Amino acid sequence: METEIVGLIIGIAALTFFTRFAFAVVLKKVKISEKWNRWIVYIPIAVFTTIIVPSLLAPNEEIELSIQNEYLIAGIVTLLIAYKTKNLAGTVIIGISIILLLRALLGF
Amino acid sequence: MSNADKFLEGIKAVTPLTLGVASFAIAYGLLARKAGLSLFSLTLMSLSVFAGAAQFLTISMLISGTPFILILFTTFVVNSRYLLMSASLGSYTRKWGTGWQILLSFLLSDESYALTISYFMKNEPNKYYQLGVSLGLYIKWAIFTLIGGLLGSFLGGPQTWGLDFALPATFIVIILPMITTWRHVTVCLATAVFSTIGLVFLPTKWYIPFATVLGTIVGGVLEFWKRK
Repeated sequence: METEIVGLIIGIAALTFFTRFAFAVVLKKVKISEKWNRWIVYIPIAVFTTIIVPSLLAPNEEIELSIQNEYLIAGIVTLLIAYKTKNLAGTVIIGISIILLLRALLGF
Repeated sequence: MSNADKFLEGIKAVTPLTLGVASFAIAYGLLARKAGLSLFSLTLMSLSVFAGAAQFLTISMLISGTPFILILFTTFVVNSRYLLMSASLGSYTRKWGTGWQILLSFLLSDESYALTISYFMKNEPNKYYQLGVSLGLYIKWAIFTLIGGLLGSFLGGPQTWGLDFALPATFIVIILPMITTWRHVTVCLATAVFSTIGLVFLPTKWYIPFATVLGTIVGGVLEFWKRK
């Protein structure tokens, strides 16, 4: 397993280096329009949303749209706290506390 | 100013970012350790990949048993923003020779890009300044990753500490500051719908490329079709 993980990491590193190097060499005197600069913001938004939604909606591979799904409840509360407070580290800690609390009090 | 002074100026420029970099690096190291990565692997990743978003996504996908090919795809997509950043820095770095270009490209990050490009717009572009900024961030990222990894080695199983929820919570915290317009909200909601549809109808983890690509296309359509 360790060998496979190291192989994966090297693969990711190689692809990441490609993204940081390729256009710096190939494109000469490039002027990137404002629209492209605005468009790249959508990429991480789409990628992270894709990862977040199923991990809250289907923590055990199947969609659980119920009050019994503590991930979904804690996720929604965390989102609200993050939106209200803008405090990054604090939000994560409160989020984890909420899920621990839900498990302890409600026996999820 | 000498080259050494420029280098030190770059190192000093990242000081205000230390707290932010440290907390994400510690969180990454800790969660990677909890996800079953060895101290060696998780540090190797910080030293060779050096991209927070991609590293967090990788451990999340490893936990959920995502095929390696999809992990490679997803990290490439999330890092594709570097294509544009490096292109816009390329006009400066090119004249410094291939060696410098390889080194500075390898060390490129969101933070170093932001600091360097704003410095280059106001001052004479200088490779030692960019190296100071980039290396300062790189070293901090590596050290705090290791600290997080060591911390993770001492803590118990992920369930008992609620750490299995830490990754989704961290991701919420990462993307929320990026969402500043109704278009961003639209893309976020559309991607949520796409990933749910993909989750139901596509085999295993194939909702990842499906929703990522469609969500990004929706963003492109909103951005390029709007009136001036």
